[in-house]
Amino acid sequence: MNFTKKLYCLMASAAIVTIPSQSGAEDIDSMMDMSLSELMEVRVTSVSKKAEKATDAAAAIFVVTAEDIKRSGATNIPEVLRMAPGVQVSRINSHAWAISARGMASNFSNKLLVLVDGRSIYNPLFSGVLWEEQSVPLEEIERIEVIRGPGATLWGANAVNGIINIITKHTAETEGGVAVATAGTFLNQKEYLRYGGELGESTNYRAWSEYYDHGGSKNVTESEKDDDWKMARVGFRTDSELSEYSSLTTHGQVFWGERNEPFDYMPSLTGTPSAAAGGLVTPAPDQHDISGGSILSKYSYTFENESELELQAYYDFSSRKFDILKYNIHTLDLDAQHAFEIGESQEFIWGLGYRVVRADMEGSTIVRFSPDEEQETVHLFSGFLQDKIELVEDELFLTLGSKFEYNSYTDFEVQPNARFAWYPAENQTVWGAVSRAVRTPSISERTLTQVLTAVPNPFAPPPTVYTAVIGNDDFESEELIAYELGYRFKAHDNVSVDLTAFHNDYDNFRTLELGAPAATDIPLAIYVDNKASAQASGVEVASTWQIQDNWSLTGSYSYLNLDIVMDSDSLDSVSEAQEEDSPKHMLNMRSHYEITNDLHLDNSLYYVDSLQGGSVEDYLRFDAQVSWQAMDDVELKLVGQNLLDNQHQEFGGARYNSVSEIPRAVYGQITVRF
Amino acid sequence: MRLANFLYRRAFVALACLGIAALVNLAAFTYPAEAKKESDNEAIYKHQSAYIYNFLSYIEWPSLVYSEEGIKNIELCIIGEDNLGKYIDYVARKALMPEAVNKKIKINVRRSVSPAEFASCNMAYISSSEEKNIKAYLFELTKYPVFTISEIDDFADMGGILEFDIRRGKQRFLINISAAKRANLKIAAELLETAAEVVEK
Repeated sequence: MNFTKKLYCLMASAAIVTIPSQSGAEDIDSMMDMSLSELMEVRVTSVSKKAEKATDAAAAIFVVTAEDIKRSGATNIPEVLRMAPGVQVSRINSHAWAISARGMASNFSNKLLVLVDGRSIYNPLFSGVLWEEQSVPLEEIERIEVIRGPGATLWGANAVNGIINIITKHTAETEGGVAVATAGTFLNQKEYLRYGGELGESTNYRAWSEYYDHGGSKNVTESEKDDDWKMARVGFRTDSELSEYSSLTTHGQVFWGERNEPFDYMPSLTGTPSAAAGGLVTPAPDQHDISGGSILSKYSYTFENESELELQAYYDFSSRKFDILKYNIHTLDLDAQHAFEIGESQEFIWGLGYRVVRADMEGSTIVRFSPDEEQETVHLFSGFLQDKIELVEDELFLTLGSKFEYNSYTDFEVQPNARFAWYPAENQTVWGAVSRAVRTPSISERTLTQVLTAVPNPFAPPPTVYTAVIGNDDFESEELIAYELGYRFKAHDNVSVDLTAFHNDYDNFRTLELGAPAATDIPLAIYVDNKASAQASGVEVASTWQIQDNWSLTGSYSYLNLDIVMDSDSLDSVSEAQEEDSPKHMLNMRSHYEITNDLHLDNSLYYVDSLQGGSVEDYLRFDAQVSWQAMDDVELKLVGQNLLDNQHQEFGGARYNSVSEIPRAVYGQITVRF
Repeated sequence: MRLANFLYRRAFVALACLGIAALVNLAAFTYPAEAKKESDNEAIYKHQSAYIYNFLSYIEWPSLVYSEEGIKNIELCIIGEDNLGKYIDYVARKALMPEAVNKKIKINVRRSVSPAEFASCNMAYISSSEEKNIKAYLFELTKYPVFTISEIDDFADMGGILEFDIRRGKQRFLINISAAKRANLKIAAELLETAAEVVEK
């Protein structure tokens, strides 16, 4: 172990000054000095008490709390997700991540549904999440529910491999002001400012803003890549108690920014970047201009008979402009849900929804939408029902449900599921589920043409396209039938273990076939079709150990075996390699140690197995963080990430042209409350 | 083989780092590090204890007088589970000096109080664990000039004097003024004004 590594170890183990701690009764001292009216303002519990605990759920759920986010040292949502068991987070470059649960990760991971307060941030054009664009500042987040497995029934199509549900803090919890400033290497700087208060007797509000400036990743040669990005965001939230029975929440956000690319390309479905390879465009750095915003309102009403009604509406707009493509996407979504009890032992919930997505596209020679249309509108009507039946009082529950959808692309889709939950003892849960889920076609899979190579036309521009990936009007939904079984228990009051095993059967898996489904002038056309099936199985284990009052350890391990099989009539030779885009083994361990009340030490260790037969090597990542509550209102933090490696690659490999490596990084942060 | 070597080196480094971190942390552990972890419940009872200390200035027990040394002892009887725990003990160690240095009011905490001893209580805190017995306790306690406190739902409606209630994350209190009158206790106007609700039952 060489000297620099020893140095990092010591920094990481920074238990520098141990301040003799004050007794826990110090808080009560200040309270005893307060007047009656000051005591009335003290917050004693969180505003919303959740009825169902995560430990009772009949699903593979992992909850990331606001505390977990603070302790992880992460500066954006994708990095926070690394701690969830079974979730692959492979950073592709400075601004893109391949994230999925139980395999199937890619630049556009299309089998993971991501919601922010009920609004989907899954891009309908490319089926995937553009994480640099759609986001929420970490300080806004109350918790992130990570559910592996299909959650089709309540959330709808595209929640195939999992759902990530990001929930922001209630405004009553964020009164007052907070300012956070961060500066470092890799993450250049980040500033966050918010203020919250009351508007009258029954409404709370919060206004916030964030500026995020992230540096570029590294080339193999260790020089910095031109893939840095900057985003600014401004938003608000209000919560009103309209009466004792009804409440209204509204969220709004506007964002704008830019992201650089070392050269003009777009990841195509084959994995190889389009067009630059064909000499069509001189490789030159390009800049994406990104902007957008959203507004969401949710109204809840509790009837006399205790049944609950929820109505939600949101409008989302996003726009991106770069050399080879410009697009705007407008989404309008309306949802209604009603939950009520039938007798003593059944909880029933049903809902209806409508969503319309309109995409305006302006392509170029390299990327265009066929048949040369500039606008595509997709309608989605959905309904769901779910009944939770108590078969044995307090001990055995059966949930049956289904979602029904009609969408403009694939007409009707039915997604039923059945799950059971058994509580044999106070601290044990056994659950199982069988579900069907579908991943509906994206606008690109149906209508997009992406040129891969072209030859210049000596007689007249434009160049003659030689190879392209083209969309297919007949592309169908991918299907999944999932079988899951889980067991949770708590031992000795301070150790808890969560085990899940699953088997996924996919059909109509996306493939890229040679030859065109319809007449086209492209000599070598590759089109999207559904000629493969796949199987995935694995286990996930997560555990927490409260070793002492001031020291806890959390860890998880997951194993995945993924096999993609082409149909006999398929001519696809590249899609099977996707099975190597997910690691077989993933392991993480986190330690939280409170040296004193005010000085905390957090360490995290991650191991991710190799990809692409070893062309992306496996890696071990160690992060360390020291946080110090310097004064009542001021907190300082020093974080080191990827301390063991100068830089390493996390995704890509043999199938991809552009290689980026993720460097070691350090940053400092100061948080002030006022 | 290469993979194993690579793993071995990396794992060794990582484990060594963790090992050093653990050792330094363990060394630091010898300092009395108080856990800052506070469950929601602890925050509630800490707050109630602070409230009770504050209430002393606003309640008048007609039969209670200052002793020769200038101390007035308020007997606080805890009925049921000891939720207030170390917080009320901390509060009891501090004396309130409402008028002058030689006029102290002190809380004397008594636990496991049986109904036969209710007559000697000045304040009674009935724990949420006693929900089933609340009516029986109140029946006994209302015979004496006892300032009754509880967080049980509808305590004020049932004849208790002060009820703690949490709404939207904040803890407030309700006062049953008629019950206070029946117990021969005087409550200062400021306490009634800051109460979320004043009930007459």
